[in-house]
Amino acid sequence: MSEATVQKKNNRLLEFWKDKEQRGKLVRSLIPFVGLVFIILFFQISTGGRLLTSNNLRTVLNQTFSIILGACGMVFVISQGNLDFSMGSVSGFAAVVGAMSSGAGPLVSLLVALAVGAAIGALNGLLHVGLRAPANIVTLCTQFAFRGVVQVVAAAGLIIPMTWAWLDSTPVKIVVAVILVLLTVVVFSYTKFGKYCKAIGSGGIASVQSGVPLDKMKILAFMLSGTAAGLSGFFSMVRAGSVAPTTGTGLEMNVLLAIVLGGMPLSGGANSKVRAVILGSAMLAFLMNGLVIWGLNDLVQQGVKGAIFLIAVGLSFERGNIAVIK
Amino acid sequence: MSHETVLSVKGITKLFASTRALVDVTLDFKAGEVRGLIGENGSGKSTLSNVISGQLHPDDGTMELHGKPYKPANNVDAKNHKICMIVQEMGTIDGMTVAANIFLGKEDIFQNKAGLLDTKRMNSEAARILKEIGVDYIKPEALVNKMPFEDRKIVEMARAMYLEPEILIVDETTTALSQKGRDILYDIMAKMKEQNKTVIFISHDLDEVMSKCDSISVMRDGSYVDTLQVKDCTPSQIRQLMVGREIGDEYYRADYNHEYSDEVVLECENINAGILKDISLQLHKGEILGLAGLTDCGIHELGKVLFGLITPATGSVHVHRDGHTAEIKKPITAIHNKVGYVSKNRDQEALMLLSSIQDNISLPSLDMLKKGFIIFPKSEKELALKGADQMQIKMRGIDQTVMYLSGGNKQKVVLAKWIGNGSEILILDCPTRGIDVGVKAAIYRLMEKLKAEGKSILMISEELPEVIGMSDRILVLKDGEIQKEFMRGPEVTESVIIEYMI
Repeated sequence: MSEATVQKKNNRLLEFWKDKEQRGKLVRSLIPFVGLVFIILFFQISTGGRLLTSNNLRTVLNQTFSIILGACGMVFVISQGNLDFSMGSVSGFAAVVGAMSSGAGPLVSLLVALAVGAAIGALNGLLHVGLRAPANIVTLCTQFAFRGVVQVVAAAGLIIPMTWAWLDSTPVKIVVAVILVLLTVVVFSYTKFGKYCKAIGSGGIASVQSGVPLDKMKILAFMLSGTAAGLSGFFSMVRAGSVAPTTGTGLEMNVLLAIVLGGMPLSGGANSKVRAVILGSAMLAFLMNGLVIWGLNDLVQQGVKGAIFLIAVGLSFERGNIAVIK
Repeated sequence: MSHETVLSVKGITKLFASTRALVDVTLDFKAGEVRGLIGENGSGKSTLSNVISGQLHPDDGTMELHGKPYKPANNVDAKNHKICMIVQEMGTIDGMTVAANIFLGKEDIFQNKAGLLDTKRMNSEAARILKEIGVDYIKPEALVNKMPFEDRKIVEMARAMYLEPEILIVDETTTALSQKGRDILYDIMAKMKEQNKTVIFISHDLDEVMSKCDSISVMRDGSYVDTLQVKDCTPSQIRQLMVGREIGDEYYRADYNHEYSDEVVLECENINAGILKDISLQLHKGEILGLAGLTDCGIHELGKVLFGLITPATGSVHVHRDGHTAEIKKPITAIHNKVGYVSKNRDQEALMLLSSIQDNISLPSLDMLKKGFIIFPKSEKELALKGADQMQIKMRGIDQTVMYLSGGNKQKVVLAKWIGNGSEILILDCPTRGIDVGVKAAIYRLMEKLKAEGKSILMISEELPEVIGMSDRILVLKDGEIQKEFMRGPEVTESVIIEYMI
């Protein structure tokens, strides 16, 4: 390279760095990577090397897995600027129905769980669109309703056949997660549906005026979120070998926290990205695991999670969208 | 009448990140005059008025009010110094009455002995102020959210006038007003002048500024250019100062032809929707059809009906393309049949502000771009680049966020959406609203080019000069009904049309 071209390149870099908008974008996209490395290093050192052992990594993988499953569905809802609080209960309910149909074999049971999830997702979407009620309120209601059903039906616990244990293995999980993430990346970034989701989060009226069928897209996103909840419900059932009244509890908060930690704003829109799902799920899993190794009790862990959530939301929310917080 | 200097602005500089919004601006405002402040978008006139009204703090420079240093901490402080501003966008609070809005923050003057708000006294005081500015049809006890946009603006004016300002800043307010509202505002301005007070009038509309102001200060690229007395200058002189280069007089269409095909491309029949009563119209291939009328006469609603955004109570909209006909009930049908729509409310309805230029341009064309289920980034980028290039959008790259573009550039992005989509029919609702002369001229040239290519344009506008200047045919609406049809010709003038509007 001649000196002139080097000079020119340097100038361009300098200009890039001076541009506040560009710089902000770059820094914001790097934070999650840095965060993940930081969390791993921090807990590796502070636990005296107990984080990165093969045994413990398997635990982390299990935790990451259940979060990723949910997050791959929820990411569509969030990119539209909505939230799905019903995910955990839907996951529990799908597991209940899946366990009830376990006599017909694992494949039927899985399909049933997915279908139940999709149906409740459609219900969420229809209620949100039909009643013109905020999605967070609607999904809070369905969260309570379906948790109630799960607690009654699974009060004594529902058992699935022991022979299904092979499904709860690391290779199966890795294959499922990789396929799901790839599918999500393709749908999210390279299809009309994914782009419409982002457009809705960026500006509802503008997207309608550009031909986006708003109501249909919202219902579809909730169906995907519900289906993901069904998938996650199926695998937690397989892992536990049974369904308990608490199956799936807290899934939505973990998923939300993961997505936010991954650097995606809860307001959705232009800065939504699937990368947030993977990075955030891993970050959260390492974090939770590290806290467990530290020996923190469950309640303190909840407190720590809450505090981190608040900080992450504060950092990632797109304030440009709103002048005054409602 | 003395014309002493009331307010001096000295060497004001204001930076936004790396953008210099104001550069070393120095000028004086005098008592008893209406001063126009004019310039292209991004020239700094709004920034300057925000500095004067205390909403922005300059990075450098000082101001003097009546010879004393003036450094407002915020807009309340500015109001205490008798400097008030009426803004372009919404400034009233929903769910409150007219009187409560007028006296917002001043309720304590209506405290009765029990320490409660004396609503009756507040209402009668509000009525007095409204009457003073010549408005008797707005009731003080009415809720503002039940009132049309324009009346809410008038409430804002009443609020500003209650404070008896020495300096009144009117920032692009008239774009949101019909003739009725404008007349009220003009009266207020004239009254202020009579009382030896100062009005700073900011507008894009050169004709309006020329007719209402005594002198005009021109700004360009954040710098102050010059102040001219209106009686000594011509519009083209000022336009030249604004743009910094010569702009020909051929601003609108030069011809008086009204040639277009007989082929109907878009039509509606017996539309009844809200204010609209039994509207039928036909748009032809290669025609520019102008829709003129006051703000609330239904022209904007009609545009939305034609694009499928509003479902009419009765009646239907049809688009004819390549020998086949489709009924438009939803925007998606319109878009598939190559109809495009540019909303009057650019930032709220036409753009995704936080998204990139590319995402905005490609959105309506995604259907066209997809191969199977997949949309390849390359084809999306190509489409956006082509659109941006055709519209000559000033940008660093198509990944730039739309929010930080100037108003004129934003409008170019909106137009690029539909140009990129290959639209053959364009419904343009106030396409030049709040846009500077340079981009305005570019949009008019684009319309001529599209017409020449056999495309059809429905132009909805509250600006009569542009309707007259661009349309082949003009339909005038009043209270939701078509009053009159004009064909393009030298005999069609503003005064002729206004008669059918009011």
